[in-house]
Amino acid sequence: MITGQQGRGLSFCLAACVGGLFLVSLWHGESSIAGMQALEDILAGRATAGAIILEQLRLPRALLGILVGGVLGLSGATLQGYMRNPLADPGILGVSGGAALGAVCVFYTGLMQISLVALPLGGLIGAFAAVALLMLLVGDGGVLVLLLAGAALSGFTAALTALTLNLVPSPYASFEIMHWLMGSLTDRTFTDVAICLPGAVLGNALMLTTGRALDALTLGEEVATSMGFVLTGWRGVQLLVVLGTALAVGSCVAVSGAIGFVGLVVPHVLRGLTGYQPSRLLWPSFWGGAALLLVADNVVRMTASGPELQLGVLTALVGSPVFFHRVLKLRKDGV
Amino acid sequence: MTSLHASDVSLSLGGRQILRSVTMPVQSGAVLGLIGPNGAGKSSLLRVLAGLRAPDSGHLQLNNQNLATAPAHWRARQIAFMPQEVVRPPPMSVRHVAALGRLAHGESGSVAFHHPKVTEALEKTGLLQSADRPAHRLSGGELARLALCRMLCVDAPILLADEPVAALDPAHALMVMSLFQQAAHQEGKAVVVVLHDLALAARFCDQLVLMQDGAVRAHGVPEQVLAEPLVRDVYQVTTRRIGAIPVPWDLCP
Repeated sequence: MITGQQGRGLSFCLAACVGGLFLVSLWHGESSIAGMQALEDILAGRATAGAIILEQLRLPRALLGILVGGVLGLSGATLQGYMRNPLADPGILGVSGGAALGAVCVFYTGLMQISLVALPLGGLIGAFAAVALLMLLVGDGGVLVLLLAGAALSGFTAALTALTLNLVPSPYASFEIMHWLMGSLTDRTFTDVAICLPGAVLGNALMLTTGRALDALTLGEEVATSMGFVLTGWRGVQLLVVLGTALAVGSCVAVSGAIGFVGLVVPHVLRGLTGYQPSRLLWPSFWGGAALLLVADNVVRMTASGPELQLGVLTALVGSPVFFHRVLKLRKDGV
Repeated sequence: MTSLHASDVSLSLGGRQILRSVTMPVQSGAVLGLIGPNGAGKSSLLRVLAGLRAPDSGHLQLNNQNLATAPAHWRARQIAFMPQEVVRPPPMSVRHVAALGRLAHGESGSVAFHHPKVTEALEKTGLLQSADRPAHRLSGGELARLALCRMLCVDAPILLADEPVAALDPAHALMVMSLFQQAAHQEGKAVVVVLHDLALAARFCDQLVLMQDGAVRAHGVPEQVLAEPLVRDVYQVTTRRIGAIPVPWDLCP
């Protein structure tokens, strides 16, 4: 039996890991800088090379690592709890697809040349448009309608993204698009953090309010409803889950591109440690996702000689074997 | 005294009339058995009574409050519901799953886990010895008892159970029905159970409602409702009496 204290202990340990990895991300990089000196320079307002690298490059990148990883982990845990389906991941709603399509449209139309902010903003607009469409499609429908609507939206946005890629006149542009779609935190700035932060914070807050309802849902929808939880409609848990994950994931994909497997694998790995109770999985999944993404980003930066490995590629490479292991364990133990 | 009253309730799904002008009082201190052939509307009526499905027309009154407009969290503390199909829980302990019933009172974590009502319900359903076992490894019968245990943990004055003994062997079926009887007669709860076993219905229910094609065909004490001509007409079976209890014996010619 996992008690609340143990659950909080796990969150605390993972948060401490994230703290350590955050410091590693700040101190470690391609150009070696004297960390303490750079920090002193920042505090004293001196624009030295070290201060600029630390403040303008590494700090936003590390912050985005925590934010994006945390959002992916938390939304994976929330969706898996709500759908009672361990295969649910943030991409299932089609909102990541919407964000990717929005960003690809910015590439295609050349709006990137006007402002660097155009790309994440395009992603954000695409994500929000997808959220609106998803809500309209789902209406008062339940989990099955949500799954189908998400699948339809994912398929549609993927088709439109492929169409855009198909129509792109320059091979360089399509290369850039492909590269962006693989997901990365390289060269992100505080503008990206500012674009991502409001949606991520609001979405996370909405998701974190659903814990008790997710626990009740382990007994089935009818029992959860009989215990006083409203599931569908404007005051329902489904709205909190959809709006929360969509806002948070959409905002993150808009700045980082699509980073797969974090939302799928992190809740899977941590579930056993939280006593299989969905409410206890939420915070640990946030910190676990953040830790995984920071580790992956550090690995990407370590292998920076030659063509830089894209973050989404690495998480998929690491995530899939973990998932294979889970599949084999499921076959053996039924858990 | 808690009372639940359905008046003139009708419901249709996908163009098919499921319930037709059902009027039925549910009283404290008594076990009411809902019987009738498959598709008669028993489970739908139970869901309407539980406030899980709003009827197309008609009215449900719970303690002088309209059930349709009553706040969900208040309703959850008045009515505990056990569905026909019990969902296999995740690999939590039996006590953990039972304690989820306390969510109806807004209680979770160790407050719910160590609540005296949880221990009491585990004991009543014979699951106290298995309290630390993983719930997903329970047999079908044990799962049904765990669902009942979870319902008892809500400690609501009205208990609604849809075929609670369908998966149970005779000994456990008797135990569960005795529990319902005890809850009604000794604790003053209002109990409604959907049953297919006419012998159990005759033995444990104070009142029976016989449903046919979405309407109440008969309502009264078991001796009246289980009279041979009525059972023969509704179920299309002949019965034989073993003692005072009618047992379905053969298909009608």
